[in-house]
Amino acid sequence: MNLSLLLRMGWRNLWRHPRRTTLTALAFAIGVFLLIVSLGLGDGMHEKMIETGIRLGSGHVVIEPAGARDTVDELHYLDADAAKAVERILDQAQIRGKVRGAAPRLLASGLLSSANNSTGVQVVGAVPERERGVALLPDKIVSGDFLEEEGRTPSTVIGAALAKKLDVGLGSKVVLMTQAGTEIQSQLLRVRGIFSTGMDDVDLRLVTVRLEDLQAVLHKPGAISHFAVFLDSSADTAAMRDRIEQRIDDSFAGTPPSVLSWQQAMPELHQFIIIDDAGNYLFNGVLLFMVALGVLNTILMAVLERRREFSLLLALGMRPREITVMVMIESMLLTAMGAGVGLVLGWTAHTYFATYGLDLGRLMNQTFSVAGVSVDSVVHSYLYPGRIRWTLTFVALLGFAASLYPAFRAAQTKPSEATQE
Amino acid sequence: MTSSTGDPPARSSLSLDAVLLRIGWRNLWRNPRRTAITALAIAVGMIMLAFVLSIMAGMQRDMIDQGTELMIGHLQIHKRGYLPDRSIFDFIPRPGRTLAAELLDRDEVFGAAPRVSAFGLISSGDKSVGVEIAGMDRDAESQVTTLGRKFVRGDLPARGERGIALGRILAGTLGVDIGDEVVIIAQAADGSLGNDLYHVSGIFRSGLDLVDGGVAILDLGVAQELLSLDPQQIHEIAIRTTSPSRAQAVASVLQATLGSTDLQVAPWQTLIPQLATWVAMSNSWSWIMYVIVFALAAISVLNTMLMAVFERLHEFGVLAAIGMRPRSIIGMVVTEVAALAVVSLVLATILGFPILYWVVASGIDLSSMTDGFSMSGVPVGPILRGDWVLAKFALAGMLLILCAVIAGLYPATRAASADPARLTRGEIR
Repeated sequence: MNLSLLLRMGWRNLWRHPRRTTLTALAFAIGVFLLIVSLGLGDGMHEKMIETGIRLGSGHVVIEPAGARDTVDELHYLDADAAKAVERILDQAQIRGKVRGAAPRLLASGLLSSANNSTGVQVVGAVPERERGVALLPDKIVSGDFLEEEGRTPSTVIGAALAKKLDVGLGSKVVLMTQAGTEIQSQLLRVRGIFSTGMDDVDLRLVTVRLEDLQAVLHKPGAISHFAVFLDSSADTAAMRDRIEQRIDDSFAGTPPSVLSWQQAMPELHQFIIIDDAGNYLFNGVLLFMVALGVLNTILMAVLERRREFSLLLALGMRPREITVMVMIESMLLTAMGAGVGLVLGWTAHTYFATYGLDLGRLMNQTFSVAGVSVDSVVHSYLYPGRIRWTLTFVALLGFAASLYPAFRAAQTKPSEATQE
Repeated sequence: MTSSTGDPPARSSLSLDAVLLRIGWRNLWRNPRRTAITALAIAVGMIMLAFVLSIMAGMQRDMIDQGTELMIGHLQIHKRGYLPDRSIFDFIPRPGRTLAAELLDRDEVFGAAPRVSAFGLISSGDKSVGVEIAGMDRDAESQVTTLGRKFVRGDLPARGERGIALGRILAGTLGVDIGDEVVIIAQAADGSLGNDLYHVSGIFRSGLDLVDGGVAILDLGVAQELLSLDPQQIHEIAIRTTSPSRAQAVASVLQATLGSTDLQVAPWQTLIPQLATWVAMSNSWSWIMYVIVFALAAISVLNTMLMAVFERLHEFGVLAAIGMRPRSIIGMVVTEVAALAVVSLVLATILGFPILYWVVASGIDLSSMTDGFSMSGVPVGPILRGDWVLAKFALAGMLLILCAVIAGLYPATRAASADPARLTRGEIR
């Protein structure tokens, strides 16, 4: 018997119980819908967290002195020669083509005081032209500008929470106290800009000044703590990290600087995402298992109440294998209908949330953060390539698994049953 | 019930109920395979719901405990306006040590630790870091926070000792160990620059990078000396009460007794709003779980019961023909649905108990994937332990029965609306 006939029979069999078929397919559709929506929102939230982490932190790829991570960044520097060598490598055509920007930075820790208060801060010396368009802070300026103006007093840009704490505004003077060598240095700075990221730690503890100003304060002309490399596409991270590392290892004589991907530079964030994903899979996997049991139930009932029919078919010469295939087709069709409807609904919701976002603002009056990166209250759905294919494969496997036992039972029917009862 | 004076109508209706119950139960097992599969599907959903509720409650419990017990305490008292700027000049406008001692007399206060806090630069050799300098009383802290138990080496400085306790990361950055000297420079309350030498008395590891890398702790009296504060000038009093869940209630009681003009009593929810937000978020998340699991369970029940009813329409017709009231037929079907829900719950309990026991007793060990990460500024993991949230399990169980009964009403009314004459002739499928 050919497959198209079996297909037609399976389809008709399904609609002998339209209500039952509809309900089962509906359950499956809900399962697939939830899977796509939750994957979309999960991926979207993760992607946003990664983007925030990368733009706020040290880029997709960070180049820093070897061993810097064992203590804290500011105690290790690339000297002027090493920094120039790194710049040359980043300027090579095969690398520059995929790099949106590379920002050299110098880090220090110190005490920032106004007439009213003082607090411990993390100081970042940055080149404004090279931060703009890639790093997060220039986009988060709420008043003033990002280190554009150069006056007689070195400029600084501080967070809104820090400005409030020190009770200073644009144009105010603050004193940065930090250590250069064995002596404590005090440097007068003028507040030229104020940023607000919404992340408490950042807004209260981060201070930016121009790179050359910080180099002068620390008596470290040309020194760099790290290069933050921002790529056009985050998908290139691993490949570009390897390529840059290769070039650096080739051209440095002594200990070359280490090259880290954002996953290595922000292990907490990376691990959180893996674990959150695993939880998401587990939850949806169990839901779909629950739904697949519904398919099993429906098909098994359909098989058991048609024992006479099967035995008649067998008596007429249909082979047990063909009955197996027919029942499997029924199950797969049922799964396909449910999955199809779920896919359409899920994709629609995904497109909607991708455009307008899901506002969790009503659930949370405050943002919360994971691994120091704040989670936005508006989540935009995003699906990694391959998610839909992965979902459909999983669903098809479930539908197939649910059909095995009923198909096996159906094929075991004996021709003699038709005449009995 | 069996007393001879009981009135007959009541007795007969009672026995009818009993009969309906028995019929419903028997009907359920006319197709044992279908019942078993449906019950399994619902049980799987319920086990997952219980699992998620348990893990979430466990995470909330651990995060709140960690967040409050490490340094913050369940609640804190400050001068009004001290938060969030923590200006060194805003000390509590009362004799602070005396106030802390008086608070201890109250039943709901288990511990009260007076503290001062300032920012300064700590240096050793050619390395220096801007840090928060906290002045703490070791004995009082041990009643309020667990910081004293987080020491890798040494301890908090004793009363009057010119020692300093540092976090693991800070000690590593400065390259110092126990007994080494560090210098602290801080802005003092009289406008001068406080500047003094201390020996490292202990190194702690809290698991929070911000604390391990940014906090240096002196003895309270020694810190007051550095900052030119009088012994009674205190910035905050951290308080431990019976449990974090009582913090808000105790805070409002204390606020009322102490007066609200110049003092602010803040529960942890105010002190760590991120954590409170996370708790609220995870609670709303668990309601979404309820809805999803119950929706799928309701569809399973509806599907199974529709099958069960439609294959027995003939039977219902006969029952109606011999005088069974529609209400009784509905009762019979609803009994069957409720019994199905109960069987599912029993199955969920049997299958789920070992899973939940494992989650609560040993927890999910993620240490192969992570050393733990911070959420809302609180360290989480690497082992996630669940909690026996029996009240929530019971609520979920009752909601499931309710859900099943609602889903069963449609098949039941279909069964009850059977027209005996047409049905017995087999005219309606």
